[in-house]
Amino acid sequence: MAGITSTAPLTQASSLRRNRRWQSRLVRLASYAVLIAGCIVFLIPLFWQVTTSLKTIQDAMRWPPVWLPLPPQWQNYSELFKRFPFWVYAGNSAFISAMVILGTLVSSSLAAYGFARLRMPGRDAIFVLLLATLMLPGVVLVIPQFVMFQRLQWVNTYNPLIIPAFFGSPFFIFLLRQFFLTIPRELEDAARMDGAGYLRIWGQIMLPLAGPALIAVAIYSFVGTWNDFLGPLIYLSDREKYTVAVALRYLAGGMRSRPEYHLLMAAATLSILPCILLFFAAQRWFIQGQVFTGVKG
Amino acid sequence: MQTSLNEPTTRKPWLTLRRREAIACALFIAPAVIGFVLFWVTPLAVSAYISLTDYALAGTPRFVGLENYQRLFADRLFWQAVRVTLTYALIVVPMWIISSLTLALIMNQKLRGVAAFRTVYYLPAVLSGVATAMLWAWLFNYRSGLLNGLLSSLGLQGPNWLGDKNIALFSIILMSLWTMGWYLPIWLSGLQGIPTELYEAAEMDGANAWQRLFNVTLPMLSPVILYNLVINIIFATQLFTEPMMMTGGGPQFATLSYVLYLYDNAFSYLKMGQATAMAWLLFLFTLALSALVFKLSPLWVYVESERRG
Amino acid sequence: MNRSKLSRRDFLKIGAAAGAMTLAGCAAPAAAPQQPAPAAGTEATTGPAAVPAAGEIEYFTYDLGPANQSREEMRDAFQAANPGAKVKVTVLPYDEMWQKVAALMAAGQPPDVMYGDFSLVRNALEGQLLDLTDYMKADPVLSDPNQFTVNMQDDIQAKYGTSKIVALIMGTWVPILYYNKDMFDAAGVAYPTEDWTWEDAREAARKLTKDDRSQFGMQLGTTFDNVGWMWWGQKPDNFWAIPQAFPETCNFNNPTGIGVMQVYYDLTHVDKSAPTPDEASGYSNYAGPFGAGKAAMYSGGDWDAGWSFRELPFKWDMTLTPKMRKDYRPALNTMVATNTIASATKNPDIAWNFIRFITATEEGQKLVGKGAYETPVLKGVAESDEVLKPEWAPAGYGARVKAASLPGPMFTPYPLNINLWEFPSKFLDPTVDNVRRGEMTPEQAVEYLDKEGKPYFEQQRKDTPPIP
Repeated sequence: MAGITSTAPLTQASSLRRNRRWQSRLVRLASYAVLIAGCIVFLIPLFWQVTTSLKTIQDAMRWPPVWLPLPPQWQNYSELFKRFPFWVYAGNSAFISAMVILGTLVSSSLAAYGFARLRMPGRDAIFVLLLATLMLPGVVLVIPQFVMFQRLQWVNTYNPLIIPAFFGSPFFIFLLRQFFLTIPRELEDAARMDGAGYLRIWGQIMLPLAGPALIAVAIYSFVGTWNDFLGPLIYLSDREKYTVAVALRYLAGGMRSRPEYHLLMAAATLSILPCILLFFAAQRWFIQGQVFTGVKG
Repeated sequence: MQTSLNEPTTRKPWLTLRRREAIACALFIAPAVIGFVLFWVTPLAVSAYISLTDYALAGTPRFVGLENYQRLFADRLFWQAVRVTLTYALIVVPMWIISSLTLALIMNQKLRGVAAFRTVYYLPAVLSGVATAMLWAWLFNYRSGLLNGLLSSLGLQGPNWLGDKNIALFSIILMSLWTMGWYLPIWLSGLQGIPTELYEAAEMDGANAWQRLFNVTLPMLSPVILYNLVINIIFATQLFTEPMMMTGGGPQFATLSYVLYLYDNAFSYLKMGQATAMAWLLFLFTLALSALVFKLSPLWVYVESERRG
Repeated sequence: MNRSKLSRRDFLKIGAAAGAMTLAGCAAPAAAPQQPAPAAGTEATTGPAAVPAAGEIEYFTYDLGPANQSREEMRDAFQAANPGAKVKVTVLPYDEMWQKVAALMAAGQPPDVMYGDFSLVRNALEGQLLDLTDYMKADPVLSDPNQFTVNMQDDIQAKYGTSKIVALIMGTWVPILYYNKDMFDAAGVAYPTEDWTWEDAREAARKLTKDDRSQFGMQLGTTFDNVGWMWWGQKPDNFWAIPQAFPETCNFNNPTGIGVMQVYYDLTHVDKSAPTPDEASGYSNYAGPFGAGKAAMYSGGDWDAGWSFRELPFKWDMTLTPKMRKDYRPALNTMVATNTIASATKNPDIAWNFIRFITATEEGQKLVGKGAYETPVLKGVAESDEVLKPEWAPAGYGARVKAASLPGPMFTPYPLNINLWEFPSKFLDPTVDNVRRGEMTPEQAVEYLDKEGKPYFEQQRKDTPPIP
């Protein structure tokens, strides 16, 4: 009896443990199943986009759907380039993005350094005011800004899309300031002893150390500018000046017969390619910057 | 600027180190402050004025007092736009958060390949609104779209995703869920920040997985959840590109978002006064929510801790 | 002409080069419209070449699909005839064009010449369009009403609601009934004729509809257009017009208005021979079920023939739109395509020469006919075989010229007001959709339109600038 009573908890425990292990294995299996199923669901749209871009128009419109583009119609892309000056638009988008990145990096990092390190009466109040604009939906300003830029005769130029970037962006100032705060002061103090001025400390100490944060800022401003729709839509009227995001609209419906979905999807695929490549190359910084601020940009 | 800043000594006695630093600070933040005044404060003030006028871009604004606001409140489409936008925001944001938090909890079990999964889920969030809207319009296509193709292979007749006024808004919500991966990093880092001792203690007390989730994980994450909930409701009220590209606000205004209607008023009907009045109402709404955010905000916490430190 | 057709999704035609921007860049904001007296020295009989002006003008046009080509051909022909003059053609999506024009006008950098329909009324009222009255009086062709199928002067004044001539009419548009011959043959139903009434069309549509919804008898094109045509077919009334000028006529709740709604109600809800809005919206091609070979008839505009039906993969033909009353056929030249010049242009003479070339020369008008988007207005050209019988067109193609030549005044079937698209998109289209869904009876629909429309037009009248 004693033996039984003493072994009972033991077997119970071991079966519990077995049970647990079994259970946790089951949980893991189920978890993988859910994650993989989710991945498939998440990738199907992109799969469909790419395969549509490689189908003949007949296959693209066929019912029930044809799953694979066999043989792949690579000439869809050359057809697209013939009818749609994609590279002109991509060049415009790239130019605007490059200028915005440049402007944002310089102006935001200057301001961020000021806010992080240099003392001035009222500085924190100004910073809080700046931060408050993060909450302000940009669309609120669209009309007065439009009126203003129109008075400046900036309609149908890139100025309204580029110039504001040179005056800093509250979100990026915030992000960089948070990063600068983590840099030990001793480094600056040492430089100051060597007679370095503030501008030199900013350029030679803070910026190199803030590499990852600067990369995050550059990436965010690239993605934001490349994908921006409302700005170019409102300000640009000359087709040769269009960005990819706005120009895509011209392919979105061939009214005369059927919309040419194979070409539309080809253009859409090309238009998201830079963001995808950038994402894979720089995923780490993407995520870092975001965790750092906890804000959805 | 460089030389004056670099100059180690100074002849003028009032230029103390403290003053020098303040001047430098002012110079460093000057572009941002000028930009703030030029591109935020001034437009805001100008828009407050335009919202009190009748203004069609050409000519000069004619002062009409609060008429634009009165007209808006009497406009059934204004209320429709409010309803559509609130419906969208109040459904999509909790769904974003619940689905991404669930995924994050699953991923947080020290599984292999989490990085790869995270990549896949995150990817759609960085893609362009226009290209995405076009892709989804194609997936939703009633006659040749993928979704109805899949449904029909199951023997089901798919709905008219974007053409049925009872479904169109939910189709756009469904599409928006595709970008929920954005939240994964936030949750994952939040989850990793929860001290393991708390879980150990809970386990000692005999708490099962559910109890640990509800008594440890969620309470610990709740400030971040709440913060993201509110701030993303603000962002969700800016829904524009998707309805603009996919439905034009139809059918029967079922997807007429607030910003789309604002855009139509401003640039299709040239009612700048009414459009800016709409913008101001949105601004006030946002301000109220922001006040809430600032109460809850980790942002605020950062600023506070810096001041103390 | 309509929002849904040319809406947010137009496909691409490559725009033209930059350059006018530099011109526009230094233009002062448009203040008062300049009175552009034609150059004193030019003789009355000047052809375009007589003014040796050199410079570049920008021509804004909305996306016309295949007819964009004709705009480029017009440019080339004009440039060949006018050495030194350059035209930059800019093609924009329909919706976007008016918005861009408004923005550029306000910025003082408008395009020199704008192709257009009624959407420029506001600009005319704001004094942003060049007064062409003197130019026109001095022109031997344009001042002679016998040369054209339209009454240039009256029609423009009616259309733009001004006492001045602010545009030239380059072409007309009329309503047309299209039909799929293959379907009529298969069902053994006689083809439509120009004597058909809507009752005849309704009966044929019933026979041509299949119960499984795989084939519809009739598809009504753009609501905005069709409502106007059906209204006109019963009673030639300026029922919508510039609200300031005709405030009392914005009235739907009357036998005419109910008659229009009844057609929609009968076809879609009672007979179910026309697709409901939901059924029609599933088609992503422009002409919907008809273009996809799923509808036997289509009530649309003559522009469709050249624009979207050229390459249809079945046999089709066209005839005059059905009559609303058996014994009554009003004039059908219901709309006109125009070109206008911005007051702020730096090159008024080149701009004038260009729109005159398109409107009043044989060469320009032939290109209009070839583009097939509009029907030419110069009599000799409009009645030539080149225009009446292009090789791609079906036997009934001449209907568009015939319809445009029916005697009677051009009418203005659209709510000409400063926000042209607001009333249709906010009130009319959704209401008609409700009728098509059977959610409103014709009586409820007109009652609702009056309830919403009266205050709307009242407001419009307040907002509309005084007629110059």
